[in-house]
Amino acid sequence: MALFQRKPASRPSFDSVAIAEIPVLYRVAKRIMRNDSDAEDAVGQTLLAATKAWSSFDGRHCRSWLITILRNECAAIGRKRGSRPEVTIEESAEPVAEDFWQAVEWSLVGDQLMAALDELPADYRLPIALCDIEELGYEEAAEALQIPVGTLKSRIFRGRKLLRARLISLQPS
Amino acid sequence: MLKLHKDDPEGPPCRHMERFLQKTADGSANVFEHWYAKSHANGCGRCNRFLDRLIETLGQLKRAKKDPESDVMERLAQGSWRNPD
Repeated sequence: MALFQRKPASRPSFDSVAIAEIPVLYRVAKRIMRNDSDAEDAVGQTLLAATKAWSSFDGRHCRSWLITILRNECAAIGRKRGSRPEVTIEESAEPVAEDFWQAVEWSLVGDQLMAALDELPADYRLPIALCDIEELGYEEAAEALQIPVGTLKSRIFRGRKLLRARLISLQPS
Repeated sequence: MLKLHKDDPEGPPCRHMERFLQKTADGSANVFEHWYAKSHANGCGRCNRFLDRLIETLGQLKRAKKDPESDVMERLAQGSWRNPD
């Protein structure tokens, strides 16, 4: 019965996808580059690269696909600028301060929270930015970061601990 | 028998509970994990406090999300990707 046959899913235009994803890409770029102008450059380059590759994209997890391109563009900009690689996971210690579990002053909001997040190593910062801020699912975020889901979960777990330590250190004593 | 920290809410959460508490806070816990974490936290001051604070932090992270300034949005929306050749 032709009447009940499912129509093939129509693919959205790149234009509509790009416009909808710009805010997310820009926020993620800011978390990677930690400055506005580099973030804007990176998103511009990402959209340019994505528009060229759109016809070969399989249509699955569009946001992850764009964020993967964005990470590559950010790395390219970083190389051009000659910026040094960030501290890696092995070098970042777990919080050990005695008052680590004390109450955080919850008037810390917005920019301060983002500033605390930006102090984390990228290996922790990006999983938190993707899952806790942009609300991507674990699978989608793992795909964007090209790491296994288990690794992503454990980075989120440790990243939240480090973030809490940063928030406490921002409080007036 | 596990010790519940009823009278010491400022200490760290129980080590074996932290993963369940994080999953409960971010909504990724399954029904059993959620029940287990909440039941434990109800009787343990440290875990209860930790769960409350983590839920609040995650909420603040989501609320801190800002859209780009309108001029940045405009430049990006009209950028060179519209004429790739």
